[in-house]
Order: sequence, then structure tokens, then C-alpha cells
Amino acid sequence: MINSKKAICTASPFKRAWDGLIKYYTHKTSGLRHIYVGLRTSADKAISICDTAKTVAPDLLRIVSLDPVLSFLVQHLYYKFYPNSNQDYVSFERIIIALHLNTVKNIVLQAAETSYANLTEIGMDQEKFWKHSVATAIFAKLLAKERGVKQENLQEYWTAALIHDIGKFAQAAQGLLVNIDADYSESGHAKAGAEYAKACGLPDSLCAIMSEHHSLKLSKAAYAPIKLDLLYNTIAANYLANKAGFSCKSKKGDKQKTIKKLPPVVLSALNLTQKTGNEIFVKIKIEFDEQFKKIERFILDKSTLEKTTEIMEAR
Amino acid sequence: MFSLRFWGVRGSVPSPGFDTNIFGGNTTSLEIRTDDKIVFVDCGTGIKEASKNLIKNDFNDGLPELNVFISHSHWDHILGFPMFTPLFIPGAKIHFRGPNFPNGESLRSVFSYMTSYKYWPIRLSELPANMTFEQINEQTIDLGNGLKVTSKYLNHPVRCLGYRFEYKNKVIVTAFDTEPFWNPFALFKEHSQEAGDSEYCNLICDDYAFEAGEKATEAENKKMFDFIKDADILIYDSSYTEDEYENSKLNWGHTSYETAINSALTANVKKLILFHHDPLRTDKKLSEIEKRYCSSCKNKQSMEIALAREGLILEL
Repeated sequence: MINSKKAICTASPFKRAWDGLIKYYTHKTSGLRHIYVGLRTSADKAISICDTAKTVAPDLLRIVSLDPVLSFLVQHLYYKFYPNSNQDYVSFERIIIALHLNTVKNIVLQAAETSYANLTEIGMDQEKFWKHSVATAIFAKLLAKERGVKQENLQEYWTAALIHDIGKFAQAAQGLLVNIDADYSESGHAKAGAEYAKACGLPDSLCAIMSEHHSLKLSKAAYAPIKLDLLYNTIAANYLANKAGFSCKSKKGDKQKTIKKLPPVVLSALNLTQKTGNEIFVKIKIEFDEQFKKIERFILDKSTLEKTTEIMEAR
Repeated sequence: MFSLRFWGVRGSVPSPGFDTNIFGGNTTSLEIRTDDKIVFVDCGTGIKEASKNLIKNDFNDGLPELNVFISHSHWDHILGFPMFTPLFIPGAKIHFRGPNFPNGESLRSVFSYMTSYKYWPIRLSELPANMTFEQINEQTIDLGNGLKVTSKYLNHPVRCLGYRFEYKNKVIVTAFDTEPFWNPFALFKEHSQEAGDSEYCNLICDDYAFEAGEKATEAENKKMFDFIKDADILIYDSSYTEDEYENSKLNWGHTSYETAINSALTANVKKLILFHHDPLRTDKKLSEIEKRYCSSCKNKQSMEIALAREGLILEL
């Protein structure tokens, strides 16, 4: 298992017992029950949206789209029920309609409640991870839009960027995200994410983003077909997010290298020169700042925290 | 032989009483028979009467193999399970199939839960029948000797499967509980204006969400059309009138009589059975509905329409 021994040792006896119970259900009795877990950062907002009979689809779309773990989970759900679909990207609107709002809502709620109760050990800075993921997604969408990517494909660019680092969460949450009994502790987060996504049924095009988002030379990994424009757009967005101060530092031993300057191969793949690239980056940075603030306000809204506390205490 | 018998036709909750004697108050359970197969769809309370008939007629010379397809796990579709008599017969082979659950819970665990110590005196593991439980998605299962079953996810607040039975070029389709797929993102603009731009960031849920919702709705309804197309008998959810549906039942996962009839007509269905009656619908009201919808259609179209009632037997 990936769980660090340190995390187990410092946990309270209650948490250790709970972790043991969860492991028992998720791994030893495979198929009996999955306990989904989300990010603590967005848990309050997710609960406030989903713990009501009045949840509306646009709100559900927002909370799912603004959280890398929930996005990954909802994508996984779709492919769990439709494993024989054509394996191309499926929009969240389609997923919410096909699975029914109530099913998506309840799974999001379950994941949020698990993380709200803080009963699992997630060995990572969750807020930093959330900020980096969202920042990358915003840059990815703005960059793609600026480069003339069709509106109907923009959500795919957003989602790919949002979940590109899911391997970090998969490692930190030791397989609790979805019931996959595998050890990713020795892999780098990129490889771990791709393998995890593959095991969860996500399309190869998204697995390839996770696997290759630090590669400037594509590996021979079997996550074909790779959508090159999507990949290089994500790499550029990842770079911009780090540059804007939203990095997600990996733990010691992870071989991730921060790119100091966008290499020509990325610029050329995106049909940009250093000059045109810089012009676009300056332009989208202004919109980025505005959008990031809005999203932060939405997710970390103080009135939501009060509402969620009320909901959870009433139980 | 390819026959269909209705043992329970009511939705939501059993509704026994003087007002429901004619159409029946038991919840959903159907029996489909071919020359050598016995299949049930759902274990609502209707399956109790089905059990009596089964034991009386089919268990005299050996143990017939039974296939039970569960549409979904809402109470009205599983409530009769603990009283399904073949479960108590040692060696009786019963194959249960039903939809997957989002959190990976098994079909077996659903029945195990409802027969646990505090809810029922005999636990699932104590039952002597030889039971198997299988979760399925959208797929085709060959039950042998010419009987094939294709499953399809419907539009209901829990994962719910419809079944298309094909035997000797004849088709029986069950499509309950379901409602037509619709676009919940149509509300986007209205909500956006109410909540203000700062909270409802337009980068996430933009104008395109509505368009994407429209495309998804169309695609899902097309799949539904293909599923019921050319059925000889279609047993379709029709819990409400169109007024009831539009005024207060949108997104409840059920269909109106009018929509059921129009969908069946478009899909070239030969006989439509209106099914899953609302528990508050009395015999008197159902008779009025039967008169209104069945006779009006009879005059205009070749498709036959009938309301499901307990004991109704149809043969193809």
C-alpha cells in the first residue's frame, strides 16, 4: 500500500481504526463497497450544493468542474456504466443527463462527506493541489480559446488540465479514490495518474495527458491515441500556472522538474512563436486573475462553511 | 410459446383495498415464458402470487431454472423478494441480474441488507436455494434456446435497467421506471441572472452548457427510441397524466400517458401496455383513463393500447 507509515503512526487511534475499516471494505472484500473520498478544500461547497432536494444541474456542473477529484470521479462513473462507449471524451453535461442528476449528486455528496469528516489520511497539501489544478485548467481553457479551439472542445481542454496531476492524489489517498488495489508509491505521479486513470476506465486520450504532461519527448507509453494539441496545451497551461505562483510542489523523490521556459517544441506544436506566445500569455493572465478570484470565492465562500456546519451538525 | 403475465402493476407502494381490486394493488412483477424458460422481471409484492402459481404448476417434476431481472433497487421493485417461495426450496436454481450501483455495491448485498436480522427473520445466507447474483450494464445476454435479453439504462433517479426480450422473431420490451431524457441546463440562464456573475462564474457553466445539454438529451432519447423500436409488446412507464407531469413530477423518473403513447407510436410498437400505476389511482380513475386513451387511439392508429392489470396474460 502507498500510505506512508508516518501518516499511520501520527493518526489518532480512531482514525487508524477507521482507515483499517475502509481498507478492509475497499480491498479485502473487493466489489462490496467503494468509499469515495474528495478534497477537503471543496467539501463544504459540494455538501451545500448536493445535500438538498433542490440541487440544480448548473450548480452540480460547477462543483464537479471546479474540483479535480470530483471531475475524475464523475468521469470514472460514466465509464463504469458505459464501458463499451466509444472512449472519446464525454462532457459533464452528457454524464449528468445520462446517469441522472440524482446519481451524480449522491456520489459527489458521499465523496464530500468523507473528506469533510476528515476520516482518511491524505498525505498532501490539499488546498495547494486544488489551486494548482484549477489554475492549470483556467489557463488551459483561456489559452485554447485564444488559439481558436472550437467551443465544443473547450471543456475537454479544461478537464484534461484539471485532472493532469490526479496521480498525486491517487498516491496520497492510497487508492481510496476508487477501488483499485494497486501500489503506485514507486511510480512518479505522472505514470501513477495515467495507470490509475486507465484502471478507472478513462479514455486513452486523457490517460496520455497524465502520463506525458512532463514529457517533451513522447514516451512509448501505450496510451494512444494521444491528442497532441490537447497535450501541449496542458503542458503550457501547467507552466503558466506554476509561473503565476500556483505550483503544486511534489514530495521528495518525485522526479518532476519545473520548466523554466516554455520550450520551442511546445510553442511550435501550439503554432506559437516566443513573441506571439508571450503576447497571448500576457493577455490571458488578466482574465485568469479575474476568473481565479471568482472561483476561489465560489468554493471558499464563508457563508457556505456556516451552512455546511449546520447541515453536518444536524445529522 | 412466448407469453407475458402481470402479477403486480402498481408503482411506489402496495395499494390494496376496495378501490384497487380490479387493476390490482401489488407492486411490479412480470412473468415471461418461452417454451422452456421462466423469467421474472422485478420482485415487487406481485411476486408472492406468482410464487404460488409457480410452485403449484412447475415444481412437480423437478426444479425449473429461474431467471429474475431486477430493473432497479427501489423498494416497490424488490419488496416481494423475501416472500419468493422458490428461495426456500433446496437446490432451486435462481439467477438474479440487475444494474450496477455507483459505489460498487453488489446486487446480492441489496437483498442481504433487506433480509438482515432486524428486517427479516431469515437471512439471505440461510436460504437453501442455489442463487447467483450478477450486475449488468447495457449488454445482450443469451439465455439459451433462442431467448436473448438486451438491457438498457433508463432515466430514473437511481441506476435502472429496461429489458428487451427477443424470442422467435418476437419482441417484448420493459421500460419502467423512466421518463424522457430532458435538458436540465435549460435553467442555466435564469439561475445565472439570479445569482449574479461573481458566484456563477461564466467560465465553467457558459452558454455552451445548454447546447451540450441539448445534444446529450437528443442522443440519449435516440438510444431509447432504438431500444423500444418495433416491439410487439412494450410495457412502458405511465404513472401520470401530462398535466401532473408538467406541474409537479418533472425529474421524478416517470412518464405521462401521453408521452408513453406518442413514443410507442413513433417507435412502431404493436401493442402498448401502460404500466406502473400511481398508488392513488383508483379503479374508477384507471377505467376512465383506459377509456380515454385506449379508445381514442384505437380509432386512429393500428397500435393497440391497454392498461396493465393483475392477472392479465398476453401471448405472442
